[in-house]
Amino acid sequence: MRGLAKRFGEKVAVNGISLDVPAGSFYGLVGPNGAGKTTALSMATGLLRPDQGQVWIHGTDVWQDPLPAKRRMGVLADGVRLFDRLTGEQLVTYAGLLRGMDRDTVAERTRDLLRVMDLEADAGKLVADYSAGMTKKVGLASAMIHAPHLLVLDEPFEAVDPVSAANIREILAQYVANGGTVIVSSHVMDLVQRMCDHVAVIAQGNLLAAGTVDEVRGEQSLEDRFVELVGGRSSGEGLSWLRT
Amino acid sequence: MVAHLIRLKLRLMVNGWRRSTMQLVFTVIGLAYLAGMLGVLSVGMFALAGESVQVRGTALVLAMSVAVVLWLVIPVFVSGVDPTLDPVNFVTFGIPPRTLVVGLLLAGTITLAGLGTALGLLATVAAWRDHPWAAAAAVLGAVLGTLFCVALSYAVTGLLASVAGRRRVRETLSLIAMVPLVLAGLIISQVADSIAQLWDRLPQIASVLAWTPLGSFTALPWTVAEGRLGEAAALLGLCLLWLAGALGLWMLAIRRSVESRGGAGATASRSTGLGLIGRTPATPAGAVMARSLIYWFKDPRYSASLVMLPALLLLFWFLGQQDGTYGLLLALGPITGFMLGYAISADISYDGSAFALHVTSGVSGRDDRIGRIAALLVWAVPATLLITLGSCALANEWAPLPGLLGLAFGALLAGAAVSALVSARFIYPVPPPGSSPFATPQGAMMRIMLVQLASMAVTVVLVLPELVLFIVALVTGDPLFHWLTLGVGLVLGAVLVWLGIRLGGRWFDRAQAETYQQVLRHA
Repeated sequence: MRGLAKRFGEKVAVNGISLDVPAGSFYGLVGPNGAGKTTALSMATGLLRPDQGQVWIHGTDVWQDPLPAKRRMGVLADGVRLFDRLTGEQLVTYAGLLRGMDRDTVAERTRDLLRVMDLEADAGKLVADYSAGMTKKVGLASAMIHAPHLLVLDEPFEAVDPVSAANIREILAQYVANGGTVIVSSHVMDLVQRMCDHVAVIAQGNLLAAGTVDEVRGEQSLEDRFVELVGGRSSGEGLSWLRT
Repeated sequence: MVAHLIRLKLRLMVNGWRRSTMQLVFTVIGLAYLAGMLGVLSVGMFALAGESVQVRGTALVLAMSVAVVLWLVIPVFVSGVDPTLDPVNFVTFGIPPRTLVVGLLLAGTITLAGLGTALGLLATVAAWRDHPWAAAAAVLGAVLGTLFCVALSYAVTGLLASVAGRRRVRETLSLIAMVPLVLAGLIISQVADSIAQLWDRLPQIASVLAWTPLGSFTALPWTVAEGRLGEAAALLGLCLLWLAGALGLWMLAIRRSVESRGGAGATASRSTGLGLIGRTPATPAGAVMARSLIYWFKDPRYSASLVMLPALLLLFWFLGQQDGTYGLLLALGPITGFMLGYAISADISYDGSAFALHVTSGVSGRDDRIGRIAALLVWAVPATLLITLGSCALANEWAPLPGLLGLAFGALLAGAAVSALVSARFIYPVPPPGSSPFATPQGAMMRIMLVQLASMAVTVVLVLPELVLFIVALVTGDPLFHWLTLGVGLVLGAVLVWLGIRLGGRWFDRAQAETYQQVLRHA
């Protein structure tokens, strides 16, 4: 992406971000709340038209040539409803059919996806009755059904239990090993450090650092480096009365 | 503790006004309206004081009964009337339920409805100003009555919310509750017939209601004024009993909602297989069609209109029977067509942010439009046909059938075409998924009205050819023109739908991202 920018009225949400995500990388996008992660990812995935700048996926411009670009992408947007009057199985199938896939492939992959997401038992339940973590997982399954080259996941691990999170991480790692590219946004540094090979730090709409995880963090842990870049950590005084 | 809760309620109110000026404006309008109503009520009470004791008692008991019924019914329609002080929010504070209930009860009284009820009941004191003891009893009844109303409505909402599989239950209830609304006209006209007899029996009805939770609170001063002190004491006991009962129910509801926290959905329905999604053609358009169809039956915001149609048929037939002309009944076919065609004009607004899936999947505008229109037509065409046939059968007039069908199908198809265009680009706030179909979203009223009126007007213009032909047919009585109406309706309608899909699809493709952002803003 090159010079991507968006402002909402007076507020500049994303201030000209340029970022190269190498094919086959597991890229983490980190930043404090309100840094512009979701806005940047929305512009990259065709959900929000940028004021300036361009996004290419494997050489295809997302905004000039949307259909082929979207075919290569699987997206899990954050804070977005699903069609929750469908059952889990129906929703994943629906996502597949919307992509124009044939019925047999869709049926086979839906079964596989529900199995690895541990949703088999609840496949026939309405998504409206799912818990937050199950909803995330079924959204993730819908994003993966068409075997995209690139997965863009906004906060994929929020509210997901540790076991499912580990399963999902494994699936994603395998996917990257087979040549897929993943972009995840998160503010759990530990997770990003363990899982991703590349990382970009953004705050207040600006790109502060980008590169491989080792380049960005140097000698420190990613979390310390992140706090150093973003600032705003209060001195360790603490609450003197908070003790028993 | 209780004082804290009341202060919290006031703080929430002030913050709400700070967040949106509109809310402040609404509150001020509400207060002004309330003041006006109370003024009228007070004048009425003073006037009532000149009537006999029996008339006064009857009027007050009946009025109170209506008020209690309103307190009971309205929360069912408006999901989550006052969620600001949901007891679940207080779970972590470890407040004893008894204290919590008292605090919430008093906090609930400082809402517009609570204040209105309290002041309205206090105004009834004026009606008893010639009987000091009755007036004193009226004050007591007013205080107890207000608390009862508030407690009752919280108990009802709380219990409804905690019923197992609560989403399904609430949706079904609000659908069932709609039928009497549609039939209200019928019921009123039925009642009006017998109103003369009813009038004589009102005192009798009131004296029965006095011993129920509906009327006890205002019956108290009545019995005092008539000097029946023994009955008055019994009524006071009953009042306290009702209040205690309502509070008990409320406590039960709180306990239930606290316990069921996290266990929700345990009884959720399950189905196996793909249902409709497995049956429509395996293309993007087919998938959209299946999904839309599922929503017509499973989403109360859609199914409300399905329930409405047979009820309307019944209502119009009844009205026709009363005055012997069936013009209105016969018009039902075309009206149905018009309303159904218009029904999908807010389709994307209804999707809410779930529409993101269509955007990120790169669904083409053509597929999206075709799917949604097909889902509508596949049942709306037979439904329109049946209703037109049904209206002709009920009216026993078959001559205008072809013309009516032409008009009905013409309106349905033209409406669908306009909807295909409108829903692609004009987004307005709708009740969010999962809420009652009657919950009207706040704000943006102008935009909603403008979009709806404009699209209706365009639809009417597009149906003009059929309309003119049909009128000619009516005037000349020549069956040829009836058949012509049918022909033109079908052909012109088909052309319009095709155009709607083409053009709507192009709009959809060009501005997908902007449309989605609009949906997000209103969601």
